[in-house]
Amino acid sequence: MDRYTIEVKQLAKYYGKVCALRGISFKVERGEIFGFLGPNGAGKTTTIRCMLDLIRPTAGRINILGHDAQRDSMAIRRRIGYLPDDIRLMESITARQLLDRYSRIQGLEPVRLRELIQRFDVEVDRPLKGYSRGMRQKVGIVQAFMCNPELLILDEPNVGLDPLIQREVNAFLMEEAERGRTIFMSSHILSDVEKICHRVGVIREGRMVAVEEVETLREKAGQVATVEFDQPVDQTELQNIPGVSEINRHGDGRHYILKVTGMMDPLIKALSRHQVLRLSVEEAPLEDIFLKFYEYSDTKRRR
Amino acid sequence: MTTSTVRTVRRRRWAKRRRRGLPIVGATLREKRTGLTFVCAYTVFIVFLVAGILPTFEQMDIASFLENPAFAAFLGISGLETFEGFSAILAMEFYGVWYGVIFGCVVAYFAGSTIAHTVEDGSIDLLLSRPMSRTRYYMERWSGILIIIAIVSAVALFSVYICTLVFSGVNVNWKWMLLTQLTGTIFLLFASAAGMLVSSLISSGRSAGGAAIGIIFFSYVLNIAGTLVTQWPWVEKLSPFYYAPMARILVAQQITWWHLLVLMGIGLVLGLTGLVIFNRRDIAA
Repeated sequence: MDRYTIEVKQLAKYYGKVCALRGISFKVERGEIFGFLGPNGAGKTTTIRCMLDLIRPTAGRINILGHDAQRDSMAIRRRIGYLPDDIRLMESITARQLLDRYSRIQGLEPVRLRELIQRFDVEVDRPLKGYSRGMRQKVGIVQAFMCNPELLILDEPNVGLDPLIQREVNAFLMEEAERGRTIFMSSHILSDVEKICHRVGVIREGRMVAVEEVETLREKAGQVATVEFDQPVDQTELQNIPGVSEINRHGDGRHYILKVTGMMDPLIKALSRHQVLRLSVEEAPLEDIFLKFYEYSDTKRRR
Repeated sequence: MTTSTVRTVRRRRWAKRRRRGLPIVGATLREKRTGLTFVCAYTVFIVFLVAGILPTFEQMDIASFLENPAFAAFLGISGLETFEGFSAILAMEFYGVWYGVIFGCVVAYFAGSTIAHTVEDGSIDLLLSRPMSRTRYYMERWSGILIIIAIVSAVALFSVYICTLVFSGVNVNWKWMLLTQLTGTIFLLFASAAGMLVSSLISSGRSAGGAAIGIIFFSYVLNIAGTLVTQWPWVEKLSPFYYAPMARILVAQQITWWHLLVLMGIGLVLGLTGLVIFNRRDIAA
């Protein structure tokens, strides 16, 4: 059995002279949740459509579940579930009829249909015409998982869902990964990606800017310490503490917010020289790191 | 999450194989059912109208219409020498160019919009992300349109048959009636193929349907121009209407078999070209 469920090598896509993908490469391991991030127009959907053989790449190769995505796309499509961004459904039929049609096209019984309908509280017996964006999204999630696929390709799975259902979907995705399913998901909701993904790939303007483990990113992001001193403290004293990368001074110099990477020990020892009224430490949000990747590529391009 | 749900989730179940049937053919028929109902109703209405007012028609000097070449070309009954009875009126009102123009445009629109519409609204993504080849998708869509053509043809023949039973003096030569309908069916096959070709090229349902109608209407204009402009007899031969002279077959009882083969051949070439294009194109978001 291959270690990698998805292998993308030097994938490029040109529309005439316009370049959508500039030779991106990444691998997704079996059983992991891989977050595919990037701003609008970065090339996320183009990559996903190339993986599904809806778009033919100009150059490069995609290997999914041991098959070439262009030559053996049928073999791949038998084993995957797909949720598109902004799901569109045939509106003249009920969700049950639609799901039945999709399972027939899949050529497999929808063995998980009842369980998924109950779990996500999907109304299936009324015409899709009156469905809200969130309801359509839930039907989309059900259709992606109902035939028990090995690999899930999800384009913005949480868009349009209320926070409770978003949490339920996140829990469900983590359970599925524990059971050995591989999940490849693109998302704009960075907090969700941070919570559930094992690794992330960041794409910007058709280039892969980074592929990192979320744990590594957490270490890079460091921690945020909020300190309140009894007396004003000179900022230069804090700047010299090893590991302190950012300092935000508030008011008269008694309040500081410090970003710390690496060990906290030097900071604690430095703070112990002063009267500290209040100290709180929390993990820095990964959003900042993700956004830095975007900025980093911008800077690099300007150079 | 409840304990029972966890237990259900953790139970490992592999999906059993399931018979696929022809889900896209069914979907195509479902999508076009309103249009098909209107076309069938129109067919029944016109055939019964012609049969019902046949005595009035027979009192008119219809043959004098034929003396005006522009009028005859407009109706698609040019070159007919005799013009009598139910078959003649049916040829003028139903099987002349009207069959080709009206039903041709309807079928071309159905076919033109059938794939383009699903590309436009994005519903094709979920279908083609499943184990359904583009060839199968295209052929099932086309088959759905061909079934619609078969239904329209059957309704037309059945209406004529009922009229021969209900109205006195309404008779047809069934051999030539069937050959006329066969010709009409082949013309609609051509129209569907032209529509499928356009549908494989354009990603907007209405635009593709409109373009397909444009092909049929342009063919009709070419046919009229070819009939009237005697200096350029080749113009007429460029129009598919030339190869499907339904009025001539029904009234003059003359058929040129290779004309039908040409029309069918061109239809198949257009349809298969559409298939090749659809297989090669990007399905853009």
